[in-house]
This record gives sequence, C-alpha cells and structure tokens, in this order.
Amino acid sequence: MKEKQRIGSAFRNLKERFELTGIILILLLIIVISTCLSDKFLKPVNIFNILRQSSVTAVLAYSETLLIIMGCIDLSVGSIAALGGIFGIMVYASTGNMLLAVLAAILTGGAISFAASLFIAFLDVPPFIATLASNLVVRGFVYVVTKGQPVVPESGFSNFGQGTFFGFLPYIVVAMFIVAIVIYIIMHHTTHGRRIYAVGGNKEAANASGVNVGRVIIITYIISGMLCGLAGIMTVSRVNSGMPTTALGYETDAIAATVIGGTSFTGGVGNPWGTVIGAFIIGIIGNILNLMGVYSYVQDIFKGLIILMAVVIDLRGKRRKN
Amino acid sequence: MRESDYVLSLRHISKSFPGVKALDDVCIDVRKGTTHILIGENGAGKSTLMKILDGIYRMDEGSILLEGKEVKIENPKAAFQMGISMIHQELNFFPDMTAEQYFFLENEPQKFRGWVDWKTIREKMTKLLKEEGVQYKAYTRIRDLSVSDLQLLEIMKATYSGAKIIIMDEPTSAVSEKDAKRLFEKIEKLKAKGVTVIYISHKMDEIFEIGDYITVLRDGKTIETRSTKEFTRDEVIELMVGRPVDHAYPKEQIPIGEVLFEAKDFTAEGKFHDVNFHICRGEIVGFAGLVGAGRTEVMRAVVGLDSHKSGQLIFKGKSFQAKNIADAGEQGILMASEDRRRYGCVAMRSVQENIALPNLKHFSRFTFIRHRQEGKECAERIKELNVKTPSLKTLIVNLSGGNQQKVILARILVANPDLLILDEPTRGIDVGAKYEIYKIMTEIARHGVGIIMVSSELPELIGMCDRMYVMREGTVAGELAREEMTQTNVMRLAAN
Repeated sequence: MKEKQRIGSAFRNLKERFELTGIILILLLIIVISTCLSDKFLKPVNIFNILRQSSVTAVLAYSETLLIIMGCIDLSVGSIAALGGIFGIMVYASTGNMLLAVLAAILTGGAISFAASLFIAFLDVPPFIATLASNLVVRGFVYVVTKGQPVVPESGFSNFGQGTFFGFLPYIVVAMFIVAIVIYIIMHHTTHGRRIYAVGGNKEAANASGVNVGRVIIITYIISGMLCGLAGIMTVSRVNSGMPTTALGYETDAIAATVIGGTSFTGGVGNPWGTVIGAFIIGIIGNILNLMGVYSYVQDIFKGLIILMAVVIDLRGKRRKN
Repeated sequence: MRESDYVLSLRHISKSFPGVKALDDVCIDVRKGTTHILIGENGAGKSTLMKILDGIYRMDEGSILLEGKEVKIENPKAAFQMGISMIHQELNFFPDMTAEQYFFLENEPQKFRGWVDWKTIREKMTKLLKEEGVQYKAYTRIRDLSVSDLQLLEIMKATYSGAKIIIMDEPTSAVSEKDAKRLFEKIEKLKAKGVTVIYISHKMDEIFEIGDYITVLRDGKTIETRSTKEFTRDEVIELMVGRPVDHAYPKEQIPIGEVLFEAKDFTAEGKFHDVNFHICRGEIVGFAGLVGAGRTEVMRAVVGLDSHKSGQLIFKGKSFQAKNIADAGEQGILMASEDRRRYGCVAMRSVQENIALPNLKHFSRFTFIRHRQEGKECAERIKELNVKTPSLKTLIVNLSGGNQQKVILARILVANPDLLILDEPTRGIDVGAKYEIYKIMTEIARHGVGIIMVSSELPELIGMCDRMYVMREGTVAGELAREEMTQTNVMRLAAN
C-alpha cells in the first residue's frame, strides 16, 4: 500500500516536471500496440531504423516548434530542406569536404528563412501566407537548379546519413539529439527563448515590455531555416540522392509532430521535448504500417486518422487537468 | 412582500470547481423593475453566479425561480429565451459585423426559411437607432462603435427580444463619465418599463447613484442584501473585505524633491498639442480628463511607444528622447499600460517569467538566464507586494486582476525607475487590492520616484495625487493643487 503511494507520488512529480505525461502515455501505447502487431518491431535493427527515419522529421519539427511557439509557422520547411540539401551535394562535389557541405546546407536554409522573415517582421505579411508563397519560390528554385533531374552525389557523400558510431549509433540520430539539447537550452536558458515565448504569448505586451519583436522574429526564422538546411542534408545524404522532390510535403509531418508534442497553435506554449516524442510517434506509425505491408497510399489515411486521435486524446487530458 | 413580486429568486446555490468552492449556499431575491447591485471583491463569486444565470455554468445545488416558477437554464440561448440577457464586459466579439447584422444575429427576419430579408432589417434597425437618438448608421461596423454605443446596442437587442432581466458586468469600467450618465439614464428607462437590471460593479459612487438594492458577496457566500438607503459606503466596503477599512486612500505627505521631468510644448499631430507639465521627485501627479482627451497618447509618446512631432522633454536635467520603450526603460522611465491583458501580461506564461520579461538583461549573463537569481529576486518582490499566488511558476492568467496588476508593479520595481507612469492602475480590480496598490504607490514615491497617475476615476486621483493636470481635447486645460481638487473643479476643466 505504502509502496503504491510512493510510486504514485513519484509519478506525480514526473508529471509536474515534464507536463508531458499524456503524450508519453500515447507513445507507450503505440509502442505496445506495434509490438503486438509485429514481432519484428522491437528488433534493434528496426528501432535504429525508426530513429534514423524520425531524425529528419524531428529536426524539421524543432524548426516548426520554435515558430509555432512564437505564434508563427513555416509551410516551406520541406522546400528549404531540399534546396539546402542539394547545395550541400554541389559543395561536396566541388570541395570533397563533408563539413563544408553541411555548413553550406545550414547557411542556405538560414539565408532563405531570413529573406522570408523580412516580409513577416517588417511588412506584416501573415506567416502562413508569406511561407505559402516562399514555399513555391524555393521549390521552384529546386526544380530549376536540378533541372528536374536527380542530382547524384560524389562517392562518400552518404557517409553522414548512413554511417554510425561504433557500428550501431547513426550519425544523424546523434545530430538530432544534439540539436534537441541546443534547442532546449535556447528555449529555457537564454533570453532569446524567453522572448520567443513572450512574442507568441502576447506580441503587444512583449513590445510594451521593451522586447524588439521584429528582431526576435527574424532571429528565430534564421535559426529555423538553419535547422531546415541541416535536415535537408541529413535526408539527401541518407538516401544518397538529390531528388527534386526531396522532403516534399515534410512540413505536414513536422507540424503534426509539433502539435502532437503539445505545442499550442495559439502561441506562447510549448516544449521542445514534446516535439521529439511527437516525431517518434509519427515515425513509429509509419514504420509499423510498413512492417505490416500496408500499401503506401493507404498509410497516409491511417497516419492522418491516428494523428487526429492523438491530438484529441492530448487535448482531453489537458482539459481534465484544468 | 409577496413571493410573486420577485422576478428572480436564487435559492441555496452552490458551485464547486476543482479545489475551490466558488459559490456556497447563495440566496438572492430580486424585485421586479429594480436595479439590483451585486458587489464583492474579485473571486467573491459574482462572475460565477452570473455565468450560472446565463447558462454558461451549471450549478451543483440549489434552484432558480423565474417569476415564481422553477427553471433550468441549460445554455445561453435558453437563458436568452427565458428573458435573461447579459451585457458582457468585453463586447467586441464581432468587429467586422455591421450593427444591423449583429443586432439581428440568430433572429433574422426571413422571407422564407434560410433567406435573410436584409431590406426589413435595414428598415427596422434604422428606425430603432433613430428612436434611441444615436448617431451611427445601421451599416456601421462594430469596430467603429465606441464601447458605450456597443453597450447601448446590446441593451436595445435585449429589450427588442423581450428581456425581463438584463445583467450588466461592470459596464462603466471602460467608458467616460458622460457615457456612464447616458447608461444610467437608459437604466432608469428600462426600470420604468418593468425590466430588472442586475448590476455588477466596484465603483461605490455609481452603485449608490443607481442601485435600489445591494447584495454583498464574499468568498462565495451572500453576506447581506439591503435596500441602498439602509447602507452606508463604509458598511458596504467593510462587508466586502470582511474587516473595517480606515481610509479608502492611504495618502501620506512625502517630501517633494527637485524637478525630475518636464514636458514643453509636447505635440503629436492629430493626437495632442502644446502639452506642458512637470513632475518632481516623490510626487504623485494625476492626469484627469474625459476618455479621448489624449492622456494615454501623451504618455505613450513620452516612453517612445508612439512618435511625436515637436516639443522638448527634460529628464533629470537633460534633454530626453526615447527611441523606443526599451530605451525609455534604460533611461529610467517606465510605464504600466491601462490595458493589462493586452499590453501587460503574457497570459500563458508564469508569474516569474512575466516579472522577468522587461528585465531580461538584469537577470542574464551573456544571454544565459540566471534562474536562481531570477527566482530569488522575483520571490522577494512577490512577498514585498503581497501578491497572492500559489507559486512563481503559476500562470499569470490564473491570478485575479488585482494580483496581476501587482505582478506588473513587481516587474517595474525590479527595473528601479526614476519616473513611473501608471495608466489606470486600478481598473477592474477590487477595493481591497486597490487599497494595496495605493499603498505600494506611496512606498515607491517615498524612494524619490516621481509617479504619473492617469485615471478615469476622479475619487482616486483626488485621493492620491499631490497635484493634478486636467486634459481636454488634446492639451492641458489646467492644473490643480491638492487643496483645489474637487469633482466640480476637475469637471469644469475637463468638459467644455
């Protein structure tokens, strides 16, 4: 009896600390169901496969998380990732240096988002509209640069996306976790993070409190764009091909992961760790449907419905708490 | 008095939310055709009670008798159909609808089912507006109406559909005295027609002016109901706060120092012109005037939130110019806005983050936040100002208005300004919290800070200020010393 109480209170502490229990429970539930559905699911090879697949979604989702917390959004993350990734391939082709290629991708992403953010910060174009338009522009550039044909990287390019530490820990999974920690530090330990929450929570109050709202928006979009560029080179290196359709439609998964992770669309509320879990949930759903041999078009239907369900469960949990 | 004389009887109503008993055995009888005042501190249960009447909440126990018959109010629409209408504090729900669209919302005249008869609507609305003697047109958009016009429109809407009871939630908190007068006249007309008004307010002056009966609520219980004649102001306040109150205004004479701030011919085209005033250290200077006289605009321009065209500002003996509000803050001038929810709090963030927001430089090193120092200083301020909050991590939206305002003051104290501009510092907060805010102001002034207090509540300006400027039509119409401050003197300068 006493033991039970102690576990109960430990659980409550956890709940207060992370405010994420609802989403963690959903993740566990999906893992349990998946384990029952397929005996291949829990095999280490498969687990790492999921992590690898989720890492690109997760990095794009961090980008979306920062923006949604700030009360903005970016519909062009997939296109930015594609252009960043393809520039990365080109830089690698001319220099043979992977580090330069990664930097090129990140800088490309940052530059594109910086340009888009100027319209949002100075001309008051709503972020939804601004990035809807910039999505077309950037994807158009991708088709122009690739001439609509896949760009084939030089040999060695795929080491970053396919290689591992100690033979099992993929580089890109490590990259994703490093990014997660950096984002956490930005959001919880820096003044910029505080300002992001304030701008998203109440733009006018933030301004009246002396926050330079325009600057916060621009800097955050630059960070977001850099993350997109990183995600781009992660994905092209993983598949070792620069398809013009790279990361097409990835913004859907990124936004879904963010929302499942508990970030509020009204702005000002959200937690980067929730987004990591959200990305895993989406990764696992895709994976188990694959394992079960579900036809890929039908997968989308399932995925959409499961995302809806997860959000409804999470919302209900929050409402009960209030 | 016979049972049937009561238009509304609330019997033993109780309502609990997780962790709080919001209403505890509330009993109120409301007589037909009267103005029944409901008064109590924030958190006393007024809003909960009204939301039950309006069908937004369900009560746990008790019964509601409407004209002697027991009724169940399931939702706001049911309440409306029973003849209970609520005039909310915030009315601007549909800024882009026209007056007529809003007026006939859910009640549109139809040629046949689903086909709105706009011609009839225009005719009816134009006629109604003419009868009421208002200036705007049937097709004027809601966003272009003043708060006072909107209230009147709501009241017209309620009476048009045969309301028996109209509930008004602090209707004068955001309107000028002139508009308040117009509202009071309207209430008199309603009463003459046999409509009952339930009126929620914090303002002592007006409740004694328009109230027939007063019910005092405290901690979710009905403390007392009497006719207004049998109450004195002090009795009402004592019943509300549950303890004797010595003075409504804890004014202390603080030695006044050298001139701290001076404005000379301060002008912003179309907003205000040739504004001259000065503030000394330790002085509380009031700015009175009607809504729209330009008081808030002047203050916003001083701190750099809006631009100005010409004139000179002198602060601490030097020429002063704020590039933006952050710059003004760094130079030592801070402002707390009149609209706490819009310009003050970030609702969904914690008390601590809200205190820290304008002081992030103070609480950080190389952009990294020093959480421990931040927590410690915020806790000190919270204690100093007696903010009632479960913890520093509590979301500010969960605090009462008075405590939110104290959090805003706490953030200002951290910044340690020389000149403090308070725009409507006590709007929408209850008597007990007001008293504490006045005391905090006195303490701040004691440290040599100059305070500008902009307020639409004359009694508090007269009660708290050392000197007062009265603004009219965008400029300073006159200056009053403490002994000259009377309602008549102020109104003579404020109105033309």
